[in-house]
Amino acid sequence: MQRRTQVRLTQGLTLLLAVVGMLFLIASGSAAHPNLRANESSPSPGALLNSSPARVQLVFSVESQGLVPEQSFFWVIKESGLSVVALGQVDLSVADRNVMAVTLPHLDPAVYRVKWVAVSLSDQGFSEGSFSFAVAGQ
Amino acid sequence: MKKVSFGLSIVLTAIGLGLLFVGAAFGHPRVETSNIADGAVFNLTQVPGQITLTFNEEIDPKRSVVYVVRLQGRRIADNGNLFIEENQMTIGVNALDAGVYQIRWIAVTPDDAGFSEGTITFAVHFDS
Repeated sequence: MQRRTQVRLTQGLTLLLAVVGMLFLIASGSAAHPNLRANESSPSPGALLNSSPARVQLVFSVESQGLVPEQSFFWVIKESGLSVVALGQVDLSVADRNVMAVTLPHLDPAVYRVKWVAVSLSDQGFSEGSFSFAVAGQ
Repeated sequence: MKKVSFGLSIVLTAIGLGLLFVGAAFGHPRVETSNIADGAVFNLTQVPGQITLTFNEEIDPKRSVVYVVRLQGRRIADNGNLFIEENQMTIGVNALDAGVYQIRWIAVTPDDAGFSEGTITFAVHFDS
């Protein structure tokens, strides 16, 4: 009688652990892909700026080991003519490796696109996206 | 005399149009050949160990890149071993499982910083 209860308990516990484990896997699987934290990035997506920004900085939500510096980049592109004005890279001075940045040259009044690609070191999760901002004329 | 100038104007117009086309192509690289065609389907044993994209013009090795992404789960499937020289980019591919994959390239010209990007999608299935 006691043994049967023990077996049931063990079975129940195993099932519970399996479910928790699977949930954890699912949660970590989706969290692994880098996500742009738009509200912490500058310029913010869609911003209309009065003057040329000094730099572009993108902040990501990414797992503990951060972004792969050799595979994570962004391109600042002038929309008319599609020419690259700057290439952003992982900021190695940030310990979490979740920031990409670049110092910009002076930008003429125009619309610019930031195209980013981010790869997480922990599990090679790939994500990409783009947003635009504009520098207004004087 | 009139005929000559008419002929000349046709030639000049043709040259002008030719220059326009060259100007349009110049600056925005496109893939001319790839050893994996868009839409290709491979057996596991047939998948090339590396992917080579040849562009219509020189590309900048510092600002150009290519990724191979397994679409299910969106994880990198290349080995990160990227080599770019003149108008070619080559990347090594890990041993692939069955699935759908996308080659995603971004290319920038070295002289006038023209940007372009594109994708090539292919599938790998088990031998039957």
